[in-house]
Amino acid sequence: MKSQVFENFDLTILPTIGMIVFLVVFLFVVIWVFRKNSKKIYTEMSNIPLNEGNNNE
Amino acid sequence: MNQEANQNLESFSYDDKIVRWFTYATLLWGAVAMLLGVTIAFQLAYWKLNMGLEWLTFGRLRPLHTNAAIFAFVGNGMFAGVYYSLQRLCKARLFNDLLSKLHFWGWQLIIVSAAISLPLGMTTGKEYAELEWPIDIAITVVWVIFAVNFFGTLIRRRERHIYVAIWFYIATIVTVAVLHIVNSISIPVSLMKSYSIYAGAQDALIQWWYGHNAVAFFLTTPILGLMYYFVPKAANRPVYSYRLSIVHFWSLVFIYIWAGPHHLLYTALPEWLQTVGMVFSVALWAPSWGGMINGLLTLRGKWSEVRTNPVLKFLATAVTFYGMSTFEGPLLSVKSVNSVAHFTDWVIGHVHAGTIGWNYMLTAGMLYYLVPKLWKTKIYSIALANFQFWTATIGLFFYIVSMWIAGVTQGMMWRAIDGETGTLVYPNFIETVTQIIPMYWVRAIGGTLVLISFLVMIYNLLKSIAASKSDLKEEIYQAPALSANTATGHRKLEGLPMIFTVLVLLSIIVGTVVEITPTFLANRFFVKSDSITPYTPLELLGRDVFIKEGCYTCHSQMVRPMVSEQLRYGKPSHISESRYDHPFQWGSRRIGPDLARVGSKYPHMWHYRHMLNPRHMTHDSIMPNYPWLARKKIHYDVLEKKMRVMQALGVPYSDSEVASSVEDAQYQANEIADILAQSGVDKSVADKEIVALISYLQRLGSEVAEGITDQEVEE
Ligand code: HEC
Repeated sequence: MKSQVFENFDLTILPTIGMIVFLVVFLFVVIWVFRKNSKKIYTEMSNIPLNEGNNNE
Repeated sequence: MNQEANQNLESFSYDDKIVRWFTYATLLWGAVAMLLGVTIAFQLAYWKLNMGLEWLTFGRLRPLHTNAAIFAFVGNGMFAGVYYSLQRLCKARLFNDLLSKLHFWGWQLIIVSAAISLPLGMTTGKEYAELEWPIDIAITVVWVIFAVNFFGTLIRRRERHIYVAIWFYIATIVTVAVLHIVNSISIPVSLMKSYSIYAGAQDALIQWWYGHNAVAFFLTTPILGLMYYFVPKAANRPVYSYRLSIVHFWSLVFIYIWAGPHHLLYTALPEWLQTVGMVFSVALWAPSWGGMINGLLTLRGKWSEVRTNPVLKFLATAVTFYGMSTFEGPLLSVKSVNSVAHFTDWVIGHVHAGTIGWNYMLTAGMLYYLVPKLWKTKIYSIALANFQFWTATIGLFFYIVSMWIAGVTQGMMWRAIDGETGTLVYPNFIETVTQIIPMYWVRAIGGTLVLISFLVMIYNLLKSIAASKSDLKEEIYQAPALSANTATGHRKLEGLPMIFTVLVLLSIIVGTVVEITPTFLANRFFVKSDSITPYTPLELLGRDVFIKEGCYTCHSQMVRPMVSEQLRYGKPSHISESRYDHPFQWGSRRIGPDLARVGSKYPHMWHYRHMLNPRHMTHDSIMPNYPWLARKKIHYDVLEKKMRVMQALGVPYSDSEVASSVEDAQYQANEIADILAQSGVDKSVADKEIVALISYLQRLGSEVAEGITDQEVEE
């Protein structure tokens, strides 16, 4: 019924690679955000919106 | 303030005028977009509201509504919020005031040209990318202006770190540019007509890669950036977890791109690609909820304020709806759910949970925060803001619930098969339509409430602005300069956004490659013996009428491989059947029946009478009348050019076919006119658009790709 031309063509390698790349990136990011001394930086970063520069007037 | 506090302070000011302009534009276009939405909602409930005027029919107004909502309303709101927060997060004025103005006026001009060209039927026929090529070029130019202004500001920042909101903005700028350019590539035929360079399945993939990511990177990531700025601002405390926001960002940017194929589940796409799309759509749920939790937990301990402060109230509701629709989205892409929901109103309800629940609510919260700051005034009436909130919420509730009921009802009716006879329980499509008309009324009323709530906000904000006594002089701020004078410092300032942009680009490219590569290889694997011939010249012209009238907003051309569909429409669609379709017309919604196999189902005369007034043939039809098709002449003058463009795109027309195209088309038109004349139609119909359209409709599905076996696959 759904005789797809594609089905004769095995490309599953592509999404597999993609999936692995994603997993690696994901794990890297998670480990990265918990690196040592990151807490101080993140506290500083998360406060950026709350200070707009000294108002002079 | 920070470590450089003892250095010399620099004075600077913020360009808030441009933010005020974008604020006004948001209010104006928001009202227009919602008014259009309400109009087409009532048209579906009561067909006469199509007014018998071509530029007011559903098929032409629906694209205008979607474009207005996405690019005009959310677009202007996003620019207002981005420009406001960017300057403050960078402690720097916008890069260039002139660029800001060009950005503003350029964008408004694009919107106006869309508002004129779409009702006139100038459209590419690709959903959310309907605008024709000159406007597409204008969009690209304005987007580049935006990008230059944005990155210029970023480079001049006085804040070492780049706050996470800005990451989301960068992802938006980069990805939208890539999506827009790749999807819009086409060859012009005339000033306002072009053909997409992609055809059939390839076009479908690229279009939904674009379509889904337009949702992701125009309606979601920039708004998440706004959330990460305005929620902490309004709550006056930092975001709950900065770590979570980083993980949220990278997972989202990485995964979103892949999920395009879930729009095409059960279509003629290869199975594995559909599965990938599904898995990733489900996986999207996790980072989205990470973001929602992060937003809501920022408000922890502030819930009493949420009840009284309209800013927090709208923001908290928006984030909640973000969570709801990002839960529903993955659910809808689960194959078994999708097989019921696809082509139905459930999807429409889902989209509006996002656009109204998330985009509208967040924009409202942002505006209630911004207007008092920008105009140095107070909210005119908290009571009105509350009234607006409840009107919008109740309206949205009506909308979502009615569309969910309508979608599930119709989806189940389409697939209902009598167990004993093995036939369809509701063989007449129209039965499944009349069944949900009451829900169309409820939806239209819900939409009206949302529109009213928006008008209330406009009134409330304009009153607040009118009460402003300040002369709106720009205030002077001070912050220490970043050590940009040393070579390393300078490089670092420019380097960070650059590295970042490249990383974002890389992560969206991975998904893109995985998703789109196969279709570029597809041509090699088309079956040699398949009998698909290109459209005749007249059919080609008829197809352009089909696109111009926006018939695809109500009719799909894609029979899915399911028993119920096979019983109702015929053989499932095959990938090679649409190989010459520039652009593809598979559609996304079946307000009317699928047309992929409609050819030869009815005599010419049936179509003729049906197009003039569908109620002649189907008593309860809600399809608009198309009387002008029997009045307007076929444009033969551009035919040869069209054929030539198609030839250039790889459709196998011979040069002699191109040369004789007008003659051939007129010959075929006369044949059809002769047959119509036997039933009493005046022979002058021969040069009218309706004849071209009939030739196209009669052609659909007449060539079914037959028995493809392994041996026949070309290597
Ligand atoms: C507002 C939605 C809407 C629009 C726009 C619309 N239609 Fe329809 N169409 C319907 C509905 C509902 C039906 C089923 C009832 C009927 O037969 O009229 C239908 C039926 C049809 C049928 C009969 C299909 C069948 O198998 O019986 C054809 C052919 C058709 N439409 C062609 C068109 C064309 C061509 C256009 C564009 C010029 C168009 N429609 C625009 C809603 C729409």
